[in-house]
Amino acid sequence: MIDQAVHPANTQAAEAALRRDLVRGDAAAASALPMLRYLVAADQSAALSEEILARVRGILSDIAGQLLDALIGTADRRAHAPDEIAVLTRAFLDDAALLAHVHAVALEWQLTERLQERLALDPVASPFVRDRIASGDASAHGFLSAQARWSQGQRRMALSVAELPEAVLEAVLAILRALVGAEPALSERASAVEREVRSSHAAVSNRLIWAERMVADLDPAVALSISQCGVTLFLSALALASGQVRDATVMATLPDQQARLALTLLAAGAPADVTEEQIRMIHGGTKLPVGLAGIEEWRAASILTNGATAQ
Amino acid sequence: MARGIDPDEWRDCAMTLGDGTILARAACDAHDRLLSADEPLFGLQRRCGGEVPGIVAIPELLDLVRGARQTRCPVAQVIRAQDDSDAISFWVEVEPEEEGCSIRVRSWQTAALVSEEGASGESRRRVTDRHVTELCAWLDAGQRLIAVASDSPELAQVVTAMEGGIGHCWTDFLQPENVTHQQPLHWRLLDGAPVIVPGSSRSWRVSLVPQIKPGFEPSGFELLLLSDEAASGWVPAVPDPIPVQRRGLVGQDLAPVLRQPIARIVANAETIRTRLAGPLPDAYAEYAGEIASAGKLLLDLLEDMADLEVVEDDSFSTNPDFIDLAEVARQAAGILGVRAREKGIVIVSPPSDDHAPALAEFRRVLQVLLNLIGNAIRYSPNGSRVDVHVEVEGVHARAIVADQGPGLNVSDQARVFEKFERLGRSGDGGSGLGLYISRRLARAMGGDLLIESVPGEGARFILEVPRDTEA
Repeated sequence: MIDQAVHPANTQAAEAALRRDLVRGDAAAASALPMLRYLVAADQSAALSEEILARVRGILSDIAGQLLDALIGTADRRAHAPDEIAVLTRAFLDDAALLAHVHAVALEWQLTERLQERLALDPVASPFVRDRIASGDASAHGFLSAQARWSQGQRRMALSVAELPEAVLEAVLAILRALVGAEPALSERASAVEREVRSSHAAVSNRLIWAERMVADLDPAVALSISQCGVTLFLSALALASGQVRDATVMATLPDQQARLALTLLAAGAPADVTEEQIRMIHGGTKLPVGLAGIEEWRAASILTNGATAQ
Repeated sequence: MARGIDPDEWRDCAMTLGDGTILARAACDAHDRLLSADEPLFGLQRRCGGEVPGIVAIPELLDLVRGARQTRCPVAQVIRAQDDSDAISFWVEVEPEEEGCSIRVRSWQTAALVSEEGASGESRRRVTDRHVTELCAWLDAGQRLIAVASDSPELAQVVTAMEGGIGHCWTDFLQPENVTHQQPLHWRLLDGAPVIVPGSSRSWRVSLVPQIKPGFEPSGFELLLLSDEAASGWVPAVPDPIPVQRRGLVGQDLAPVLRQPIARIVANAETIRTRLAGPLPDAYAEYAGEIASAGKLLLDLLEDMADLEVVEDDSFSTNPDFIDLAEVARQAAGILGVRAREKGIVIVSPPSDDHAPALAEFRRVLQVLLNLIGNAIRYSPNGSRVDVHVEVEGVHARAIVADQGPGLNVSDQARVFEKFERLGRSGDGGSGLGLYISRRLARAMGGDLLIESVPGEGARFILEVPRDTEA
């Protein structure tokens, strides 16, 4: 039925809504070309592959779901409407720290699966971890169960908030606080949720903490071998030894970041031959950066920090 | 209505009309429920897990029907569906009709589903298994546990046992059914085996994914515990799709569940107050009395709220009976006699030879009179008189309840019938709904409820209903 008598106020509201949609559409259209140019030129951008985008989206929704679960409480547990999830997920997208971490997690799992397929590298119990388990290492047990849970989660594009590094967790809680701030009843509940999440986060060691503990006093010759340690421990060891942030180390494993990976490995103290071997493991038989043998550890670190401007 | 036609027969039933060939017709209601369907649509609806009548179970068709109903625009498109063995595509036209939709099926094609075999099928199965598994364990080359992960509360018992038994063979915790052989068997024999899960009544099977370096024996396994039955704690993603008819929250939902516990509170408080359960200090007996009266107040309020919903509903109507207004008034006076005597109030009811034949619903008239007499008792001084009499005049029969209370001034007389109007009173057990409801009832019966009062000289409430002119 067509409503002939449109109220003037309604017309204004409708016009405003149309204008808003138009602006949004224009913004999307404007960004379409640069994105298209980038994606076509980048051939197959591993960092922005469809799988990775889907995984980032999935993990963000999962985190949103966990927060909503906590907000609602166990009494009237229910599945959340896609709209509710979307509101939180959209807010998450504005936070660089969270987004970067989730991206790194997705890439790490992708690498883990790829190496399982190509090198039969166990995603949970690598040869090194098996040895440690056999020798009754308690922290190896801790790491193993955490890694098993994480792997199972990643297969479902799920990431427990307990697995987030502290800074990222704080960012997530700040977003929650900002979103529910307008409603007094909700924000009271949100503070309770915040307390719960923080205390349960503090109570258990997550996977990354266990990994760090395991590689802390490990011989770099063992720790920097991805086929021995498995992807997770290798990345933690590499970050620790090269003094880089772990998420940045994960980004260095992308196919178009081989120079960065080589320098990171060198900066971590790996000899040139080990560095080459690791790159070959990660990327298959690719063309390696040349002249790695001549670059010393401190020099590699300096190039990494100062980038292209290094003298 | 739904017809069960032999699948081979429906082709012969196809009707050729002026507007082309129609293989089948169906109809949906305002809630997208399939009310009737011809074959082959009927059969597909059933094979997709739906009923007739029942919500459309073919996902694409449901979307289409819902869209057509909401936009009130006819739509036509190909629908793809699949049942146990076939992929089906058919052309449908959906046309909004009254509240729902009519559906016409114009073509019907089936093709056998392509079964996935070989490596791609295997890897897809593995991905699915890993996704739906409720417990995931890592085993070493000898099928001994090295780690276990699960977030299912149902499996908490077995997870605890497994965590405590790291290094033991997994079959110690998940006993394979029908296997008495010394464990562990070769992994290929155990892959897919049904297992008994302590603490769960569902049926389970395991899937063993070997960690293999080609040319070597497996260096370890991934154990997935799967069940084809959904977990009990499963939360449906979509809320119940059948919308509930607009109905009273209080009357139909709250009142039935609240009445019993409140009645129990009142009964127990009365028991305590009257010291039936043993001696008690006076103060506590008083508290119990207060609990009892608060409970009664709550019960009354509940009844009032439920009544309010009923009388405010647009579809509310009464069923007129041939009644004697005088007889109903005598009954109401009798019911409230005890309460009146407690305050030393005398109710003068119509003499037994007095009659006022009327056309109104008996229990509603009784409800109104109980409310009027109850109010009179509540707001009249102790030892006063409440006079109930009836009269017949023209097309009306009237019951008049007159008290000797403080009376109401003109502005209060206008307000007294408003919803939740208490005229400044509180703590006397009234909800402010009684007169509002009574007037709605009187008007629903084709009558009215009126007041005549002068401050200081009491009040007269007049219930007017249609007279039974044939009596």
